[in-house]
Amino acid sequence: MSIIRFFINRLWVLFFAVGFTISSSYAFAQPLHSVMLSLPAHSEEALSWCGPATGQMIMAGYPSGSCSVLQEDVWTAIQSYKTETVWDTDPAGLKGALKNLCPPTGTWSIHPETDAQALMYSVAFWMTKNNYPAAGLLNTVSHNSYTAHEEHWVAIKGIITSADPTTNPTVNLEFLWFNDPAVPLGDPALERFVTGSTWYSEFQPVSKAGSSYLGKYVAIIEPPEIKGLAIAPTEVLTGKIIKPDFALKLADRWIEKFKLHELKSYGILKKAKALAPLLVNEKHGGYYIVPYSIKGQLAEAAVIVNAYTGNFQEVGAFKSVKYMSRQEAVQIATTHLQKREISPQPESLSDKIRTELIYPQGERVVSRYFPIWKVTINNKVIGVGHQGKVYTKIPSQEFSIPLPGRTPAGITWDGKQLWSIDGKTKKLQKIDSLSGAVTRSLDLDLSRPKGLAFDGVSIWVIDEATKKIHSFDPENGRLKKTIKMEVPAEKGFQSVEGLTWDGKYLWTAYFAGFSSSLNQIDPQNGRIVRSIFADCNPRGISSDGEYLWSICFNGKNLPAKIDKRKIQDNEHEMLRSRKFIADIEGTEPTGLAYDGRYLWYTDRHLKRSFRVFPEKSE
Amino acid sequence: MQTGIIRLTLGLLSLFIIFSSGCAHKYAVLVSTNKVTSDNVSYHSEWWYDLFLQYSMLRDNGFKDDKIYVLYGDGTDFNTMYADYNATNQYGHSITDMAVSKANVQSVFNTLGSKVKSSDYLYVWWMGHGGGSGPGSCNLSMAISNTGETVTDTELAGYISNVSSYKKRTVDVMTCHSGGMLDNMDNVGNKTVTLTSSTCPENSYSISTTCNGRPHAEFHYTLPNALKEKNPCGTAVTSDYDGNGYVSLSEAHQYNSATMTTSTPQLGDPDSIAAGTYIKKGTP
Repeated sequence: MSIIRFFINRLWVLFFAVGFTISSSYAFAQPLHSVMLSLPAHSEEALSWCGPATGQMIMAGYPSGSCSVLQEDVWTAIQSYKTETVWDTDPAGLKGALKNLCPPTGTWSIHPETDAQALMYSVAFWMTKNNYPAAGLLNTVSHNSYTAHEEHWVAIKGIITSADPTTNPTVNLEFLWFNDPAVPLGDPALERFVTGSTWYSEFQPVSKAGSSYLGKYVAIIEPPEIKGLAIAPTEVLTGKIIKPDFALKLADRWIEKFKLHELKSYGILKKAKALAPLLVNEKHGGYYIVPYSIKGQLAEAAVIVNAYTGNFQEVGAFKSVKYMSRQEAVQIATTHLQKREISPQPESLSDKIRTELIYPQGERVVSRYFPIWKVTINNKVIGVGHQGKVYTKIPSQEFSIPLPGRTPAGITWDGKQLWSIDGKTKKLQKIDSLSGAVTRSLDLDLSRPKGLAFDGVSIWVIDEATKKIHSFDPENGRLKKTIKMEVPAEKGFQSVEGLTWDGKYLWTAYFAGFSSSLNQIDPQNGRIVRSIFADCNPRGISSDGEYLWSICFNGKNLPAKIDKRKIQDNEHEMLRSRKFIADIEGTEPTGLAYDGRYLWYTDRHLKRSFRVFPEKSE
Repeated sequence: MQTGIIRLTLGLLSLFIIFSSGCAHKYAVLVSTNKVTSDNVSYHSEWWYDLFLQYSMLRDNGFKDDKIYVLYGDGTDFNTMYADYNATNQYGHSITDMAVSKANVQSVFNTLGSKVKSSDYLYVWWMGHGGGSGPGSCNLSMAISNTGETVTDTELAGYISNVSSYKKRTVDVMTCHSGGMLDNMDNVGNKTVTLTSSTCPENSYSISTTCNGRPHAEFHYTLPNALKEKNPCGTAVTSDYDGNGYVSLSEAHQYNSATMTTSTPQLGDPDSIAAGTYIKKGTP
């Protein structure tokens, strides 16, 4: 049996070595190296059981022979070996189950790495060497309707690299093939074949506060430990959207070029016809789903292409499903509102309806293949899942990380990582922007810290109690300079609500009712160089030197908004350049930072920092 | 028979006298010094929401559209998502007559100078940013944010005085430090009631809770509610304290004082006419 399995595995290697030698947009100059293992696809049998399902699949794919275990038994074993209670399935629990539940065992090791490329190299190396599948922790983002469950385990069964990882310390990660058990409960597991770029765009370090793995990428591999890198280009996340017809043509082309239909899981692609492509996440991170069907409108597989470049991202197969149309989604949303006696007002519905397909980045409660229709009817927003599930609260669309401390009071970006200041603990902390892991913590001697800015060398913090602005050395927390915080007499002052650096000057935000102001400050002496009306209730400001962004707080019942103004000499011209670019989640926003691509804001109540794409174009 | 003829003659004579001298008119100038680009933003959307509420209150109290001069933004209504704050939806036409600018403010009062008669009533409403300087922060400087211009309290009083003939007038100012307007209008014999949102040193604020959840300046939410005797949702408010069927400007001020929490509304009434000024009446 084991000999047969070994040869099956090697046959896949041969197939891909030949199949991917052909030229493509990925411009393979040499035969690719691949390991493709045969694993059954098991979905999670409970909403928090993606770990047990992953273990169950991996044990069925041992090269020494399949081992069939019940998912419930895997769950029980995981609980007995678990060392961290903040997880449903922690790495130690899953490792213990793999090691002990189904002899003959491997040695199985937990690989926690701060570098995703280093970890994926280990996966490629040992999968090549030993032919065991691996358990990969895709991320710790909520991914189904049970949002308290965060860790998202998948079973990696195939990996394709530009060269043999056992003889090359650096390889390109071309494709990854894995079973994702965490699709909507009741559906079969999804078999996803994705590019290295797509994998890395979803692969995130642990962001569970209190875990020893915080900030680390994790996989459980048989066995340890090797040094190397598996690299992949970064996904393009913005740009001009390609047309649906072109996306469809490209999907057909990728199927042929990569011979996707030769893989058993995607065999239907040989006969299937493409249905109308669906555009998802149009504004940022957009992609087209091109469904394929051999039964009219019932899709059984889909190819996903980048919505801006048309590049192949992945292919997936699933049970027959009819994608919900816009009209059906609107009908469901309308019916839901009418049942709640929220009558669409005032004019005809067609004037006030907006629809878009979204794949929420913050809470991945649905699969990438089955996004949610976000239907806005006269300012009421309803989500409709592809199975008709109604979301009265749209799942979080923004990626976020936990913040340390009790009262986040400011945030800034130092060019590489985020910094946060806590109003209660008075700690200034450097934070990994992918996981929220604290990488440096400095105690500051301040009474009421609020607002944070980085000038390229020092970190500036306002002490609201003493109305002074201090600069600190971010290496050691040493106080470098203190200036007085000037308040414009004619505009009054009630509270300070933000601090930023525009490349030459500091800016402060003050709340004072209709006289709330944004003030450009000379960092040498604290004098106000200019003061403009905020025209909102500011709760954080940020600048890149060209633009000034601010959070406008609108009470607990209306969403706060981020606005953007071009910094100009005349106040009214700045005001006229102002655009409201995003509604934000959370109820207590405080602090805003720009990292060169994204804006980050903190929420005092949720104790998290959220990432927002600012749509910087004019 | 003779008595009847005499009565008829006297009646016709009375009508002749009334019509020959002309009916009394109610004029209003509404100035909102900014431009709204988004619904539901505190300290921003008010520039339209408050203006619309004020216009609506005046119409409910018998002011005719052609006697209400609206200066706002670039000269066109804000296309709000809320049908009940959309003028075209509510009145069948836009309400903005011209863009807000210093020149247009002067121009509108110059125009009214030749229109408003001694029997007419003039209502002036100003909404914008204000800065206070000088003794007690009572020198008020008002920003026209849309153009970058400023109008001082002295200048605004001068513009208004270009309308020299009137029976009574009311000046309503919602800015921070708006109390600074009082000393410019409080001259005995001017027959002017001045209502402001705050004292000289105070800022002005948005109200935290409104019946429809929309942001409004506190003063410009409570004042029209008082004068209309209902809030924007149609719920009655009790501002006719003496129960005579009319809300005087004194009663409106009393209602503001009792209701407002974020700043202290002020009343200037050097001729003691506020208690007898009812804007709902044909001749306030």
